Amino acid sequence: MVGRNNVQNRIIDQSILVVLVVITLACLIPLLHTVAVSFSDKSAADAGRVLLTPIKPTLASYSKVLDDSQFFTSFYISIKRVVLGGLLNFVITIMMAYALSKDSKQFPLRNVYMWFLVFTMMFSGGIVPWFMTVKSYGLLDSMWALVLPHAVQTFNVILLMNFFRNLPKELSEAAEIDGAGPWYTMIRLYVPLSLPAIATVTLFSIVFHWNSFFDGLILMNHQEHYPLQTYIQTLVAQLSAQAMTAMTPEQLAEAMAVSNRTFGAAKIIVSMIPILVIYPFLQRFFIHGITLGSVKE
Amino acid sequence: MANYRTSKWMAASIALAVLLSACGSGGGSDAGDGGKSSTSSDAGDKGTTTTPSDAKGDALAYEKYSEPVSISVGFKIPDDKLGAGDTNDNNPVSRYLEGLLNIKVTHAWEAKGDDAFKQKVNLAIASNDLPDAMVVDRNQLRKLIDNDMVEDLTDVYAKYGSELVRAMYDSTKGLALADATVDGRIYGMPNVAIEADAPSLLWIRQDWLDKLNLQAPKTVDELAAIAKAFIEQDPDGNGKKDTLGLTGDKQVVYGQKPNPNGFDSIFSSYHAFPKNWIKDKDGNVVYGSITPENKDALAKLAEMYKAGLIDPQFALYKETQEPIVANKTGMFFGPWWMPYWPLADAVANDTKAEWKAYATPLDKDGKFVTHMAPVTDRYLVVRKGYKNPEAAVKLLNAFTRIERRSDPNKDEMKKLDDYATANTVQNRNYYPFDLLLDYSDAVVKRYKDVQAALKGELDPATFDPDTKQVYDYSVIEKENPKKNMDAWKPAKAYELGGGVLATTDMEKIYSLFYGTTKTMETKWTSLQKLENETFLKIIVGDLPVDAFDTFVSDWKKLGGDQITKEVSDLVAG
Repeated sequence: MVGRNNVQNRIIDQSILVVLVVITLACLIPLLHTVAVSFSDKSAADAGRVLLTPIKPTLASYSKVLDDSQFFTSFYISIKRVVLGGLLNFVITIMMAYALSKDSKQFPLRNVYMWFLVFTMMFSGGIVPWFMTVKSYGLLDSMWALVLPHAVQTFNVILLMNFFRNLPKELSEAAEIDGAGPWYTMIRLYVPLSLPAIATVTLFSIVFHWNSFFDGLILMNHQEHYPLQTYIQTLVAQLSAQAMTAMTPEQLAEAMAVSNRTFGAAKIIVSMIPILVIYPFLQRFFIHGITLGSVKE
Repeated sequence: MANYRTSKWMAASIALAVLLSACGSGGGSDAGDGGKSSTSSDAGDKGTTTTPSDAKGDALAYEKYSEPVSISVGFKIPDDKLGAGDTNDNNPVSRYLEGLLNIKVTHAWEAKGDDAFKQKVNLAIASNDLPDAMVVDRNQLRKLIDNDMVEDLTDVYAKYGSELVRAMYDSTKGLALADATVDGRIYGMPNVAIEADAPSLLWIRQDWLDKLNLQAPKTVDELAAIAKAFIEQDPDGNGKKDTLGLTGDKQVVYGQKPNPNGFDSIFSSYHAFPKNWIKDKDGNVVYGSITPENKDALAKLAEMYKAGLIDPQFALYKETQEPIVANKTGMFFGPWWMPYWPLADAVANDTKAEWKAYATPLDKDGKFVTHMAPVTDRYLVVRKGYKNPEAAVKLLNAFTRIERRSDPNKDEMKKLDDYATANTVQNRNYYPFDLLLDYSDAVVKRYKDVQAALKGELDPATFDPDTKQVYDYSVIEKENPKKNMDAWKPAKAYELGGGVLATTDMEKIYSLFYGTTKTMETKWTSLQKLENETFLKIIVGDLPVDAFDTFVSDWKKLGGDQITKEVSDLVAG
C-alpha cells in the first residue's frame, strides 16, 4: 500500500517536473535564441541558421546600438523618467487607492471619482486630442510630457484599491480608536501591510515608463530628448516596404548594411537588461506583509 | 497590463483614424492638369517678397536676402553622426545655406525614421500647427489642400524656380508637378524619384544554370522548367534534394516598388497589373487586380505551386529573404538593387554563388512588360500665411544645385565634400528638406557612365561623387572579385540590375492613380485584404481558380465600384 503510494507519488512528481521543465524551457529558449542571434553574423542570422548558439560571433550589432553618445543621453533620460514617473505613480497610486478603498459613507463622492477613473480606462480621447492637450499645457519637448500625462495609472490604482479593501476592517478601526488619523493609518498601517501589492504596481509602473517609446516619438521635438526606447526604436534599419519607397538607393544600401534580425535582437537585449536588474530587488517585497493572525474572528 | 495597454493604443489609433478620415473632406484631385502650369514660365508677378529686386531668372533664384529671413521646418533626423560641435540645425550644410541666402532655418520639430516623421506631420496637420515649410506625402498633401492650409506656390515657383529645378521637373514631362497641382495651381514642390526601382527582374543562379546546361528562361513555361531542374537535379551538388524552385512572398505582388519575391513580373507577362489603376481596352479606368488577365496568371501560379515548382512554404516565412540568403533557391524576382540586399548576404554564405538578372518572363509577343512607380511621392509645402513662401523654393534651388554638383562656389563645395568624407556623413541628409530631385533615369545613366569609364571611354574624374563611388567600387570588385562585399554590392547592383534596365526595351505601364479617394479611406484596407487572401489562396490551392470571379464581384460590391468611379472622376479631372 505504502510502496504503491510512493511509486504513484514519484510518477506524479516526475510528471510535474516534466511539465515545469517544459514551461521553463518555453520561457527560456526564445530568450536564449534572441541572445544568440544578437551575437551572430548577420548573414547567418538572416538565413535562419542561428538556433541557440551564435554563429560566427560578432559584436557588430551591439556596437551599432551603443555607438552613439545619444544612447547614453537617452539612457539618462529614461532613468530620469523612470525615477520621476515611478515616484509620482507611487505616491498618487497609494493615495488614490486609499481614499477610494473607503466606502461612500466615509467618502461621499467616492463613486463619482471611481466612475471618472474607470471612464478613462474604457475610453480614450485618441492621439490627436492627447497631443493637443499636452501641447496646450506647454509640455511638449520636456520631461514632464512623459511623466505628467501618466501620473495616474488607473489599472494600478484599482489593483491596489482592491488590495486595501481586502485588509481587515478591524485593523483600521482599531487604529482609529487608538487615535490614528487617516494619514497615519495609511502610512503606518496600510502601506506596510500592502508591500507585495505596492511592489507589484511599482514594478508595473517602472516597466511601463521604461518600455514606452511612442509618447517620446510624438511629444519630443528633438532627438536629444528621446528616452531610450524611443531612441532605440528609431535606430531600426527597417525594411518595411513602406520605408523602402521613401529611400534613395544609397540610403537603402546603408540600411541594409545592418541585418534586421541581429540588430533587432541586440536592441531587445540591451533594453531588457535594466528591468532584469531591478526585478530581483523588488522581488523580496513580494513575500512580506502578511496579515494572517492579526485579527481574531 | 499588456493587454490593457494594447487595447488602449488600439482604441487611440482607431479614434485617430476616424478623426483623420473626418478631416479629409471631398476628393482632392492630385492628378490635375498641372502640365500647363509647369511649362508656363511666367504665371504672373504677384508673388510676395520682402526684398523687392530687379533680378530675374537664376539671379533671383539664388539671390541673397538683404534682411535675414527665418523659416521653421519639420526635419527628418538622419542616421549619420556629425563632427564634434555640429548639430542637426547647425552644421556645415546649414551654415553654407544660411550664408548663401540669408535664410535662417530653425527646426520646429525633428523626428527620426519615416514612420515617426509621418506621424509628426499628421499631428501637425490635425492640430493645425504647421511649421513654415515641411515635406509631406501624397495623402497629407491632399488633406492640406482640401483644408486650405498651404500656400499656392504657382507664382512663387514661376518667379523663383531655378533653371536646374525646372529642368529636373521637365525631365518627368510635367508628371511630377501635375501631381501637386489642383485646378491648375501648384501647392507643393514634388521630388523626382528614380524610375529604376519599379521593374521586378528575375534573379537567377548562373552557376546552377551552367552546371545543368540550361539557358536563361524567356517565358513562364521555361521558367517553370528551370525551377523543376533546380529542384530535382541537385544544382548545389551536396547530394541532397534540398533546393527549392521559385520563391515567393505572402504579399504575392508589390504593385509599385517591389521588394524581393514579388510575382509582379509573372502577372505583367500576362498583361495583368494588380494594385495599379489602368485603362481597359474600352478606355475605362479599371483596377488592375480584377481584370481577367489576372486569372490566367493565377492559374499558372497555382499550377506551378501544385507541381512544387514554387517554394511550398513561401507564404509562411516571417522574413521573405530567408531561402535566398540560405542559398536554398536559385531563382527569385526582385528589383535592380537586389545585390545590396539580400544577395550580399547570400553570397557571403556561399561565395560560389553567381547571380545574374534577366528581364523575364516575356509576354506572348516577346516583350518585357512592367508596371512603373509614381514619379513623385513627396512634396514640399509652405504653411498658409507664411510671409516668405519663396524662401522654401530658394532653399530647394540651393540644395538641388549642391546635389547636382553645379554650385559655382567651388571652394565652399570642396569644404563640404571634405567634411562629409572626414566624418562619413552624407551632406544631403542635412538639407532642410528631404526632397531630392533626381533625373528619373539616374540608375541607367550611372550604369552607362561607369561601364564607359571601365572601358576607358570616359574619364571618371568628371563624375559626380555617387557615380565616382560606384566606379571605384566596380574597379575594386573587378580586381578582387567577392573579396570586399561593400564593393560587390554597388558594383553588381549597377552591372547586373542597372545593366538589364539599360539594355532591355520595356513596355512601361504607369498607374493612372496613386492617391487615396474618400471611399478608399474606409474600405480600401478590407478590399486589399480580400484581394491578398484570394490571390494567396488560389495560388496555394485552397481555392479553385474560378474563385477569382467571385472575388471580382465581391470586390465590386464591397465598395470597389464606388472607388473605381471616384478614381475615374479624378483621372478625368
